[in-house]
Amino acid sequence: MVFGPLHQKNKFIKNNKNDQNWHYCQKTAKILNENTQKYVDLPIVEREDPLVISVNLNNGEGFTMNLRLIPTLLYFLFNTCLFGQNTTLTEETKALISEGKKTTAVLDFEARGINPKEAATLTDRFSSALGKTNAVILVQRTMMKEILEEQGFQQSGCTSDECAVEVGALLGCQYMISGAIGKIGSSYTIDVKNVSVESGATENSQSATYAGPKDGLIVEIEILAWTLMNLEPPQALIEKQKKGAQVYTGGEKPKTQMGALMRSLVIPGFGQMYSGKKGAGYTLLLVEGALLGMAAKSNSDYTSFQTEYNTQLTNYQTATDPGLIAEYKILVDEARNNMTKANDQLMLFSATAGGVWLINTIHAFLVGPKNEDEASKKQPFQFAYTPSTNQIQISWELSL
Amino acid sequence: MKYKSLINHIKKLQTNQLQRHIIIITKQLIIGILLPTFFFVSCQNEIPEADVFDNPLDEEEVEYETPALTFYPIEINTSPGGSFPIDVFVLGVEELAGSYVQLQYDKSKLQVVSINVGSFFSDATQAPIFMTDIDDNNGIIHLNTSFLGSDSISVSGTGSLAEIVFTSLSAGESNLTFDATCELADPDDVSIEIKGFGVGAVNAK
Repeated sequence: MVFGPLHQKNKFIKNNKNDQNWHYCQKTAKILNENTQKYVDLPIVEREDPLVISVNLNNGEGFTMNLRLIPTLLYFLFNTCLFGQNTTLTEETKALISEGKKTTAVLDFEARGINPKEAATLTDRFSSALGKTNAVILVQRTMMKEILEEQGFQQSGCTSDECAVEVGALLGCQYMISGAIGKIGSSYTIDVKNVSVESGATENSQSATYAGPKDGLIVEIEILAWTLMNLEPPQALIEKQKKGAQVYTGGEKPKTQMGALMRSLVIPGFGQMYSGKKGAGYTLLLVEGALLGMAAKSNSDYTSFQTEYNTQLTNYQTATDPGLIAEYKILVDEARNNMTKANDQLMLFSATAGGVWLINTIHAFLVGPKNEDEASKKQPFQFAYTPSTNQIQISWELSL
Repeated sequence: MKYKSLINHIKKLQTNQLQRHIIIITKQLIIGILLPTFFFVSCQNEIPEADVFDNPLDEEEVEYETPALTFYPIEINTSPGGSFPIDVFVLGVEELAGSYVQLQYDKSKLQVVSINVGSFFSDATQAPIFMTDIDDNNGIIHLNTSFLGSDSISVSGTGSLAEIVFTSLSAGESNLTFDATCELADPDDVSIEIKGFGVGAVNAK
C-alpha cells in the first residue's frame, strides 16, 4: 500500500539557492524521487496511539494510518486538484538533490538556564548559518512550525532524538538537527546534533563552551553550523570569535571594572548601575544625596548663624549701655556656638558623604563587570578527587 | 634585521602601554584622592575666635579696673579735614555727683570743634553744671560736671560725661589721653578713686 506522491504547493522544502522558490515535502510513507523516478521508503514511527490504526490486508500487505492526518490529507488532496500542475521540482532543487544534499530541518534548541526566546533567536541564527553552508536543503523554520502546528505537534517539548525523528518523519525530511544551550556559572555550553530520520542515529554532534557576554554566543553558534556539517568555518567568523562579543555591540567598548570605578567616582552609584546592579546603585545614590543634602542644610544653617553672629557683634560693638552690651555679648556667644555646631554637622555629613563616596567607588570596582580574559582566568592551583585512585590530586598550571 | 625591527616594535608597544598605564594611574590618583580631599577641605568653615569682645565700655573685657575713664569709640579712623565725635565715658562708678576731667590731644593734628554734656548726668533728675575749658595752645581740655546742692543726687554705672567733636587737621596717628589730675567725687565730695584710664587713638588717612 502506497500513499503518494502527494504534490502540493504549500508544503515546503526550502531551496536555499533561491529563497523565492518553494517546493514540496512529502507527508507520506513513501516519497517519489523525481530524479530517479523511484519511490523511496521513509521511516514510519511505530507507536501505540489510539489515533493510529494499522491495517493488514489479506495479500500480506498492510498500512498504518494516522487519523490525525486525515484533515491534512484531505487538504492536500484539495490542493493537489487545484495546484497539482504547478508542483514539480525546479531545476535548481533537482540539481541539489542530485548533488546528494539532504533535506534537513532544525528544531528549536532547548534552553537550559537561558531565556527560551534567546534560545529561539540563536536557533534562527543557527539555521541562517546552516543555510549559508550550502551543505543541506534546509526546511524553512517558519514553514516547519506551521506544519507542526497543523499537526497539533508541540515542538517545545521535543528534545529527545526519538521526538526529533518523529518530527522529521512528519516533515518528510532526511535529517533533523536538535540542540541545547545551557549555562553553568558564567559559562555557556552549546550542543548540537544531526540525527538521521531514517536510521534514528546521530550522524554528527558538536559542542562548544563559551564564557563571556551573551552576544558572543551568536558567533559560536554560527561556527557550530559549519562544524556540524564537517566544514571549515569562514575566516571572518573565526576572526569574530577571536575579537569576542565586541563586534556585536557596535564597536562599543566592553564594560570594565575601571569603567565602573570612574563612573562611581563622578556620580555615586553610577558605576553600580553601569554594572547592572541598579539596586545598589540607586541606594548609594540616595544615601550620598541624603548626606550631601544634610551637609548642604548644615552649611545653610552655618551661613545664617554667621549672619546672626555678625549682626550681634556689630550691636555689641556699638552699644554703650552696659545692659545691652551684656545682652549682645550673650547673643554673640550663642550665635558663635550655633555656628560651631552647624560646622561640626557639616564636617560630619561631608566626611560621611566622602566616606560613602570612597566606599561606593571601591564597591563599584569590586562588583564591576569582569572582562572575558579575567573571567576565564583560572586559579593556578586546583584540587580534584580521582575516584579510580581514591586520592585527592593537586594540579598546578603555569601559562607560558 | 626583521627580528630586530620586530623586537623594537614590541618594545615600543610596551613603552606606549606603560605610558598609558602611568597616565591612567595618575589621573585616578588626582581624581580619587585630590578631588575628595579638596571637597572635604572646602567644606570647612571658619569659626570666629571667642575673644572678639572689644567694646571699651564692656567692664568685663577692659584691661583696667573700674571705676575708669575712657573714650568711646576708642579708635577712630578718619580723613584729614574730617570731623568726628568722641565721648568721654566713666565706667563702673558708684554714686557719682561731680567730676573733673583733663585730657590731652595732639594740637598739630586735631582741633576741638564743640563740646556737649554727656547723657550720664543730663539724664538724671536734676540738670548738672557743665563747664569746659579748651587750651588750644597746649592741646588740653578741662571738663567739669557736677550736681548743685546737697540733695544727694548722684549717678551710678557707666555713662558719657561729655561729647567732644574734633576736626582732623592733618594725616597721621594721634592719641587722646587722660591726665592724672582727673577726679571723681560722691555727693559728700569724697573722692572716688579712678583705677583705670583708656587711651583713645585717632588715625587720619
